[in-house]
Amino acid sequence: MALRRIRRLLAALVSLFALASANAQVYPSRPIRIVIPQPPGGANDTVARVFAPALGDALGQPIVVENRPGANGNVAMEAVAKAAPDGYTLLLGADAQIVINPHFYPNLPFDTLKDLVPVASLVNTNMVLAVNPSLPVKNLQGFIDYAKHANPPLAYGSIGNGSQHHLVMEMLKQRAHIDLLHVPFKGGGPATTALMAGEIAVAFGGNSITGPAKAGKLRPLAVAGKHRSASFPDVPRLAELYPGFEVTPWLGLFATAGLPAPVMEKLREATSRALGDAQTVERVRRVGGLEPYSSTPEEFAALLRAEYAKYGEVVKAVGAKID
Amino acid sequence: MLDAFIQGLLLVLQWKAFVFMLAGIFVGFWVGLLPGLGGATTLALMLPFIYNMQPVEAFAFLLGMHSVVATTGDITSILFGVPGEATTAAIILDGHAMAKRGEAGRALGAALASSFVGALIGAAALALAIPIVRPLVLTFGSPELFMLAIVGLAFIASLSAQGARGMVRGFLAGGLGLFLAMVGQDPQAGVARYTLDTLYLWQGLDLVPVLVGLFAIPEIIDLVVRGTSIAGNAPAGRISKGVFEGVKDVFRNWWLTVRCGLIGTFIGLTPGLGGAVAQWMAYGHATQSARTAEERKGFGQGDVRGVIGPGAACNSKEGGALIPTIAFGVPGGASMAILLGGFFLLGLVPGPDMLTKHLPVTFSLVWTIVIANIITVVACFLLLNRLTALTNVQGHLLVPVVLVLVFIGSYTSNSSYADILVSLIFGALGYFMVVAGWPRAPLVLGLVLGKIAENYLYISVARYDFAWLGRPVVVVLLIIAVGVILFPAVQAWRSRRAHG
Repeated sequence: MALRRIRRLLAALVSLFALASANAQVYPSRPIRIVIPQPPGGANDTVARVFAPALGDALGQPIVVENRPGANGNVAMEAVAKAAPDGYTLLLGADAQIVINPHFYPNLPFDTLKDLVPVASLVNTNMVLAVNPSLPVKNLQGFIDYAKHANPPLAYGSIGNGSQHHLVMEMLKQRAHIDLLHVPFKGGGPATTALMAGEIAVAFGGNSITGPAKAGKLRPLAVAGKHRSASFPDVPRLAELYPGFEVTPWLGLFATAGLPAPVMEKLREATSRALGDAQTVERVRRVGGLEPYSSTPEEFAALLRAEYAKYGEVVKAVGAKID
Repeated sequence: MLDAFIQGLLLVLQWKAFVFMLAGIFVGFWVGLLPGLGGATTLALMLPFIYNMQPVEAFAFLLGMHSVVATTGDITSILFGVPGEATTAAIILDGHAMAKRGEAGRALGAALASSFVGALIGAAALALAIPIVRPLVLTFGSPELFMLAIVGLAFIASLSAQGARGMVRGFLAGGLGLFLAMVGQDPQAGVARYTLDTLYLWQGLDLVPVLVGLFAIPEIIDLVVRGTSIAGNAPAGRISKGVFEGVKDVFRNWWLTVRCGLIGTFIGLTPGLGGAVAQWMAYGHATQSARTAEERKGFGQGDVRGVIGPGAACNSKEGGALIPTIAFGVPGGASMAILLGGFFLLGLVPGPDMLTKHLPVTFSLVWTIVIANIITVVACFLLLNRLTALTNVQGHLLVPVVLVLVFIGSYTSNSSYADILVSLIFGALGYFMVVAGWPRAPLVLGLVLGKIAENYLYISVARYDFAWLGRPVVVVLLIIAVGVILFPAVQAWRSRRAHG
């Protein structure tokens, strides 16, 4: 009697699995969750919400955006790294999480390059190097010369210890042989306010610098990206003075490693359709200085490996580590 | 100027914008009532809906929703002792005590009226302060922000019971709060402190589960133990009767309402302080309105001034927070960051343009705050009988519902089961504090302000060594802080004189 019941249960289970695998062939058959490593209001969050409708249309299933902030994004990454590799749990991650965090937290219970696989790049942005307008410098070279002779050293702000804004300035310090004092603020708002007030002399910034810079409250000196910025066409690139000095923050879509190839195929196709959607592209551009960023899977994977190594060196040089 | 002012009003009154505002108010109403579901999260959820709207419609929708959340958040706090929002916890102390005494109507009346006055103050500040906000905000560098946090911490003296014993307990509770604020990764060196080797604690304790545990759980236990309804055995007719008494209370304490409204506005417009501070500072200030030590004892037992102060501050901070957001695109908090995203999506660049080219749009924001609050307050007054009747529902019917709301509320802060564990731990702590007569407000103040104080102290010293101690605003704030600490002694002296 009992045996028969167990057998029946097993049969039911088997058919359930069969059903599940049949469903996998028609991926996606239920809503897809995109996990965001930040609370609402952050860049990842905004981008996810801008892309969600277009992605949902392309996949024929609704996209649910779920915020899992905590531990500088590590909580969200762990959730996706340890999820079932079925394509229903995705991560909208940034370089700050994927290629920078591992160097600060050597004991993470997952490997961002092995347990997560890149689906596609989505957007990137141009960082702006800006100074307080009371600083007697008009251009990048002028700033470097001024900083070399400043005593005590000029103070620079960042949006937090170990943030990209912190590390990029450290890279510039090394490259230009200047000394600057690091002052970590909590987020872009307070850092920008401090820069306008002259509490700090200089900072790298993204969106929060654009408005004040256009209004003349801050002086943009250079952009860190591969191209000049559309917002500041007259501002040179850092690489024009320091060849090869290029940093372009990006955001991309990631899945759990072990994702079946057909599912990955579908996701990449949908992402590329979303990136080609004129309305979505327009919205991305409007969300403060973001540019749509398409790349082939190989290019994106190569970028990840290269940046992982690059930031590893900077973090080692800065000497920061969190156990 | 006047032209733009009227144009702004007309923009909001266009039928489409108005309908969107009503929709926003409807959503915000419920978001405020439900604990845990915060204003920022909801704004983010609503962002995709604005893609095809005109700027004025979109802001009527978003801001209409946002201006309501704080008001209805107060209602949950007062009726159930469950913070409806992280920013509406301070109103529990006296508001819920009044509800338990059968005066839910009066408490709600006072909260709604003071919220409304607060909203008007915030909106007026938004309209008036925009031209002068730049120097104002820029005067507040890191040293001043640090000192402001110290002034906030000084309110512990007012939030503790009288006498040496009460003070010691208050400052110990505040110390525990400061200690808890240190949990998580230290913002300067990046060292993980007291994280118990868990990822969850790396960013420190989240405020929502802590507040929910500290305030809601003791009330739930109390309700179960008493076995009655929240209002005990107060007759049903009396409970809702006091509504207009509550409204009158606001006018009787008019200057307190205005001062607390200004406190809220100021905290809102200072980027880097955060909304959770506003109600507590206002509450601390409200306790100072007690002339004597005896009068002071009534706070926490259901003094209506303890409702009016936080009520006014909570709503006025939103108008204040909009000021730096609009004037130079620096968001005052998470909600404002999302609104800023909305600005960009619609092709508006915050900054001087908002004061010249787009001035009517800016004024339409002011009007949205005013009109949304009028509508909400009227709606709340119409629903007040139903709402207050909830305090007459028997505990065994109410507790399961409230319990579910409480745990959903704390779970949504990180979507982690650890949130619920944190709520339970702080629930136990809160219960024992209530039973043993320890004040909970200083603990919250320490937790909220500890992180701010630490961060800005580090920056001040790193940037200015110790020269910042001589900055004029720092010195003034230090004097204020000392005054705040000594204030209970003034109250004690007054009562000695009254008796002597």
